[in-house]
Amino acid sequence: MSTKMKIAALAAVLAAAGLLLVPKPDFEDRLKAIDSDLSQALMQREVQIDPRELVEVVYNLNMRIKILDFRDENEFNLFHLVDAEHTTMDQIGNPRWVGALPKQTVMVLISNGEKRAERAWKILRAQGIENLYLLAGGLNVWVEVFGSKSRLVAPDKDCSLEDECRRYRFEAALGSRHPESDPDPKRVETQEFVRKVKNIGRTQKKKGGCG
Amino acid sequence: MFPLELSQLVGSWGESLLYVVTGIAFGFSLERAGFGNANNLAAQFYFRDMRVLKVMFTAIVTAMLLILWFSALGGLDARALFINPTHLWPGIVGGLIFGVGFVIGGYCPGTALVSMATFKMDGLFFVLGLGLGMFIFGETIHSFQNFWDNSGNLGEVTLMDWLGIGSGLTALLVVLMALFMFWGAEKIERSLDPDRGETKCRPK
Repeated sequence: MSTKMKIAALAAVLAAAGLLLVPKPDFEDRLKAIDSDLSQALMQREVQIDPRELVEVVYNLNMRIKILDFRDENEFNLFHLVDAEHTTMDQIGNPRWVGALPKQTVMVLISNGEKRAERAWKILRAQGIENLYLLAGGLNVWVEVFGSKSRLVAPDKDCSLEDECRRYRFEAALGSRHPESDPDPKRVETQEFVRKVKNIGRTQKKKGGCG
Repeated sequence: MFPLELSQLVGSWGESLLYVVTGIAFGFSLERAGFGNANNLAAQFYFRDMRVLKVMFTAIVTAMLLILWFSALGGLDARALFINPTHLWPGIVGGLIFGVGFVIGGYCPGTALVSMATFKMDGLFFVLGLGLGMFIFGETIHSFQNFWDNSGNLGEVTLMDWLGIGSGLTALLVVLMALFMFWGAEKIERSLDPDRGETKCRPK
């Protein structure tokens, strides 16, 4: 090997090793750097998915989905979607917890309205999590769409659909055993809505199904 | 800050002109490196001349270090760079077809154009074959669209994401891998041609 090549090889190794010394931007720096892009995506409603689309994705056996519920624990115990996981803001600020999130999985964040889910969406996006969506209108709209009018307690009039407050009311805290927790997918087929979840390809099949 | 908004800086015609000039410079560099000659390129597959491997890895290491350092120093917004989505199985199948075409024809698409630009007949025929292949692909893609779009679709994944390690460590590993391959390539070349690199004197 000639002297020139040895010098070039040494320079390349030193340049690469030097990158190890460059301080990594912390989470707040990353969020600040991309905040305007993320806010724009939210403003243009690129990631807010219709409740009917969420049902469609849940029943798509070729797509893995994880639903993260950011409401308070008492609200989660009162009512939540089947397979939803109660999640806190502290958890998503923990890189270890975020690192354990599954890859190639569509993740949908939900709260009563959209505000809390939007904040969570930004935090997770700043940590590089892809395929991340939030439920348009939150569970307030979900219950309006899929709720059984004869069974539900009249909604809280002081809470509008968009607010982060809880508008829906149930007689009992049944968790995911309410009919609204797992609506009939046939109700979706007759409705038109804009689909936003990007096809991330055929992933590991979910267990279950119709044989 | 890079990347530059060329259309705003020099207009759409200026932008196109810059692409043409860059393309010519790239082609010229390939030609000077001997990549306009099918014999040099095909020799890679017989381990007689590993210049393709050396040039490719040198380009990868140079571009990687420049991008990472520019980005670290705040001169480049790395998020604005296009990352080609990884479609694993289509990539493997396409790579095999590409490799077979390369070893049979002696060119890859870029070097075939370089060869044609220097009026080589084999380059011209290779480019014609390339055009025919693109036409057939375009006309038949509907029959394997699902495989093309969805099979092994990993999205915009980088080595850092895949390995789950930082960019600095990834860069160091890539550089060390490149140096190891250069060293190995030299060894292989010398084992097949022991006189390689020695000054050959004319017999008196």
